[in-house]
Amino acid sequence: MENEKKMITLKSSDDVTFEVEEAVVLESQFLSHLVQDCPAPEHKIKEVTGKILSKVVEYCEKHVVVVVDGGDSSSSSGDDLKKWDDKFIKEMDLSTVYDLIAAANYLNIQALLDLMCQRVADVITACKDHKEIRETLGIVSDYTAEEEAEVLKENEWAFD
Amino acid sequence: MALNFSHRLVSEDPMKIADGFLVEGVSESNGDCFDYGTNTGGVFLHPWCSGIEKGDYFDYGRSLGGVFSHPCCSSIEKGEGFGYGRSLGDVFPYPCCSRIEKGEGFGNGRGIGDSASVDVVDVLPSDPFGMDMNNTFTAISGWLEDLEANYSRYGRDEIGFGIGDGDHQLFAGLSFIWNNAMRFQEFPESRVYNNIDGYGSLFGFDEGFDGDKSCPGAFIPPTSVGESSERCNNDGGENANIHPAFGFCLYHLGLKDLLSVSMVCKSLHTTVCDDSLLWKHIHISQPMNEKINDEALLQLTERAHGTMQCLRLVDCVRITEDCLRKVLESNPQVVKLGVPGCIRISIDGLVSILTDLKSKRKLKVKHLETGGLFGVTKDHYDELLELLDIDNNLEKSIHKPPRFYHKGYTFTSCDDVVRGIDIEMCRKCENWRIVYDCPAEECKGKEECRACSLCVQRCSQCGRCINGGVYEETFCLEFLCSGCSKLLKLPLL
Repeated sequence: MENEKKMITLKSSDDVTFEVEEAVVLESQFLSHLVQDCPAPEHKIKEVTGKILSKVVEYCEKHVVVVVDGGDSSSSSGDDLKKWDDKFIKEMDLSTVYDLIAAANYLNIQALLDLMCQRVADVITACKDHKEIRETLGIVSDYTAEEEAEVLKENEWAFD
Repeated sequence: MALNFSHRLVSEDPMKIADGFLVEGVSESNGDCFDYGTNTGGVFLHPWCSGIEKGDYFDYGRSLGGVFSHPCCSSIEKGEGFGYGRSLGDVFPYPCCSRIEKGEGFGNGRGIGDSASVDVVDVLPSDPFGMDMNNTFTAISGWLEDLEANYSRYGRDEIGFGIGDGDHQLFAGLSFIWNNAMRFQEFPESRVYNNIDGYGSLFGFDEGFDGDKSCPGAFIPPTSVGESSERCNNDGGENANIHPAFGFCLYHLGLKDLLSVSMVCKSLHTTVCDDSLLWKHIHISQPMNEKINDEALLQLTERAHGTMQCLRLVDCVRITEDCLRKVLESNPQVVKLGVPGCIRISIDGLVSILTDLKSKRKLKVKHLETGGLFGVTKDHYDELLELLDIDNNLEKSIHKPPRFYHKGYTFTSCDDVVRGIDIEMCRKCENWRIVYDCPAEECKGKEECRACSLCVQRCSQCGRCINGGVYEETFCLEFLCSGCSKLLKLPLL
């Protein structure tokens, strides 16, 4: 395992650098194409900040390690991974989650994108009505009372 | 749907043609033609409309006070084209139009007519021409409620009605006759806009009504034109406090949450209603299945803009065959169709719907989930195989995952539907039903244990056969095998 590993440096928009193994980079479709197409040792990712990129790298490293070490006992490592994912998303606030979604979309890391979206979806599902969604997600309604009544009427079949 | 008019919009609140279209005091004959266009482009003017002497006109502006947003608009807004909306033009001989031409301006919404309006239901004969009233009225009532529900939104204001400029002459002629129109001296050129789906919309308004060029064909609310164009500009915009990435999360939401989100703010409403990808797979099960009705389903499926690929209605007890027919007609891309437990849909109805679709070359369904409808005969089965284009021998030879009783249809998702058709002949009773495999080790591969749920009693939890074994009968008259019964025993307090 300890033989030569190709290291790649990723640089965030605010010039934070991360040195990662090539396998980690390959988790991202976007980066794997980038690495293949231009074999420079350092890649600047202008769209992602250092804070978010550190999360992305953390996620990818964890998943690569588990996949490599997993071997035969895939079910237990799968469980571990799931626990790690749960912990990973729980300690994030929503704005980080959004940024991470955007980053995962940009870097094309489907698993991370799904994980993060599911996190937001769970938050929404936990709300009992649209007012609670507004409060939880901090969205201000721009409906007038009349308009809101209309929208409520449109969906009243589902919420009576 | 039965002929239940009691809930129809018309009966309680006569509709009037949109804002400013009607001026007060219209008391003369005010015929109304419903353009009941279908996908085939055939236009269908309802004969019974000619019987209306007064008053069936539409006021969308009054109670709603907004610009109309039409499902089609969104497609235009998103640049998806209007291809599926076959817009047929029509001359709309409204007597009021002539009056308005003479003086009243369009668009300021003044003078919404309040003239004596007669309840259409009272005036109409029940079935004057021996037409298929079940279909017709359901279509119309569905359409009316659709209008109520759909068109009242003014979240999306970029209205762009496709202006059909087809058969003016023809419709002028037809309307002329049907409306006894000799008494109208002037025919201001109004047009009927219809959308495809068979519950086409009709709105007529005068050509001269072009107060706002930026919104061609917009229905201006009874406020001012300026305000409406302002809305046009503002409304498509994103709500500032919604992160752009939020859109991705919507794909992970169930129907109920999606509807909740649509009520949060305008831009999310627009997103939810206009993003046809969100509605590509519609899967309605608990807890929405008991609530969803024909109107709601039509409204939801319309949001797919004809791109829906998978429709699964699990135990949707209110959905009728007519509704299903309309949904499938306007969504010819549906590949997977499931109606398990939809008790209003019979095998005869299903076969007839699919046959009609096939004859119109709109049938793409390859996977059908009946959920074990009652009364399936060999003829039905053969017909379904033919309709779905399933080669019976091939179907038998394809390896399919075993199906266990406990999994029930309520648990499967669209991706789990791999069979062409979920029923086959039970070898025991020789009826066409859902045939289950047995998960018990000792029964694996045994043909006698492979049967429908009536021939072999099965554990409601694990699905194994309990023939000869120890079992328990639950309060719901389901059976539990001894193993599951022990596992399920709740600790007594």
